[in-house]
Amino acid sequence: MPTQPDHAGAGLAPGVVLVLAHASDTGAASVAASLRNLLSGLPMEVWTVPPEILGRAAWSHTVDAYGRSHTRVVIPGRTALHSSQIRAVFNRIQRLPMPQLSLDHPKGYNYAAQELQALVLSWLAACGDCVVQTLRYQPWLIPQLTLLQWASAAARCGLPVAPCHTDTRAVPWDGTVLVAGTLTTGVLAGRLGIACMATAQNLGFTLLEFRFNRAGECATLVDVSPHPALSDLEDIDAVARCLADLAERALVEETE
Amino acid sequence: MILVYGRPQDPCIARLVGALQTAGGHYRLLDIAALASTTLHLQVGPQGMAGELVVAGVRTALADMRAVFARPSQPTLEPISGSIPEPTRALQRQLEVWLDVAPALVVNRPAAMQAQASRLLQTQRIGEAGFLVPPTLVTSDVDEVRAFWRTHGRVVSRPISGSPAVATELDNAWLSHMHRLAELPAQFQAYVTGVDVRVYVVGQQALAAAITLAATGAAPHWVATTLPPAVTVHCVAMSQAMGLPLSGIDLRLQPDGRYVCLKINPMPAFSDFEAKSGLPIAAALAALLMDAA
Repeated sequence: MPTQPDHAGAGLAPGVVLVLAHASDTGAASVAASLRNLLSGLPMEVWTVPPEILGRAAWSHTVDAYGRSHTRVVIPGRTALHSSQIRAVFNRIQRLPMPQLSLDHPKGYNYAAQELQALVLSWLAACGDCVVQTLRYQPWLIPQLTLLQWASAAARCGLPVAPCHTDTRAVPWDGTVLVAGTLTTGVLAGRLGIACMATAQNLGFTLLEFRFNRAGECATLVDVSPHPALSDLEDIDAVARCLADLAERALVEETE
Repeated sequence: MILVYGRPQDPCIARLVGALQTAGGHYRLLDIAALASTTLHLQVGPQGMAGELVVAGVRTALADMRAVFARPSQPTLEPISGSIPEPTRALQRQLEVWLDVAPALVVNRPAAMQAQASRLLQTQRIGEAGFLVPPTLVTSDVDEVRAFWRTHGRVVSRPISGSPAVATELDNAWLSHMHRLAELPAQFQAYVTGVDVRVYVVGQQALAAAITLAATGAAPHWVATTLPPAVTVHCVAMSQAMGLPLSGIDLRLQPDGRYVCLKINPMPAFSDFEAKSGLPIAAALAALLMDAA
């Protein structure tokens, strides 16, 4: 992660695991609660930040002549957060609204929203692989995964992909495999977990939910989501452990 | 077979088609204006992806398209919009999706171009690729802007995103509306002095020209130039790392002999540049596509 840990104010501050999630995202809230338990005793805090507030934050993002970036963001109600403090990020942003600009502002709302999106994207991309989903391989703030992308990757990795066209309507599913880093959960994880993990890695995603339709002994893949609801306790635990691993690794790398 | 997707009246498409004809390349032109009479059949199953493109009744298996040049529009953070009929828009989206996964040489894949839609992120990635970049500040704080201005002497402001708004140099007029930063942070970059050098990377080649300023009032003109070998290697490697077989890289050669990279254009227009510099970009592009096909 190209950070500069010597920025004023960042040195003694605790590490932070950021959960960027909307208030309605109960799955992310459960992951945050589980993370707090997993990281208790370590010099780390878990911050749940609603994306809606990022447009009201005070930003200072620098890139030096060698392309090294550093961000200092002051989120309303919190102390300043330096990028060198960030140990892991769980990005669950589904929309990034911009507060209304004052009437004398010459720039339009759409322009402002694009600017904020580009800023947040750059901030998270500079955090490297400690972001779930990592932005290294897919350049979207809100992860995008098309049927054609996941189906071709899944077929290459040996998963039983249901024959489909790009205009195929959603097919019901009754079994899942959740991939969270190197962990897999779900009723079909024992049988299909390794192929699902290979597919996720092939697509450059850390977290994916593979949805299967089961008919007797056969299971066919009918959908893949980069934004699982995370209502199952086993899934919540896997995502929290994946984030905790990233955070602990970042802590070890910093102390080495 | 090579697929050329775009508008035939686009001078870049016209030059490429001319170069392909001269070189005897086997190509099919998909006119974006003719999408109403085009269908794309795509299926995915246990055997992978298959499908065909049907243009005015002529069918071509997607597997036969080994190289694609796609120049339908500029990349943007916004989804495709406007007054395009929904079926045509749906086909455009389908084509974009296919271009991202097609087992072919695609110049350039939409996702790779999308990554350039944030100029700030692009600056970071250029730096990661080993080029010097202009020192950059994005801030909501007026005092930080003043300090940055004092440090660098000349500073320009440009959009953080890929918005086409032009860069403006910071001056006293800027100071009068600095209070607006609190509502919307802005991006500032140190002005880099030197000679502009434009590099077109086409596959493994880097074709470069420097801008020469004539007398005041006269139009600047481009003169083909040779880059130092290390800079050539760097340009090609950066373009490859960003997944761009074709790119336009704006460098500035500083008085101390060092190159600073200002930006990388993931779908550069080249017709005007080619005409002025004499560099054979369309021919190089045609050769790249024909090699893959």
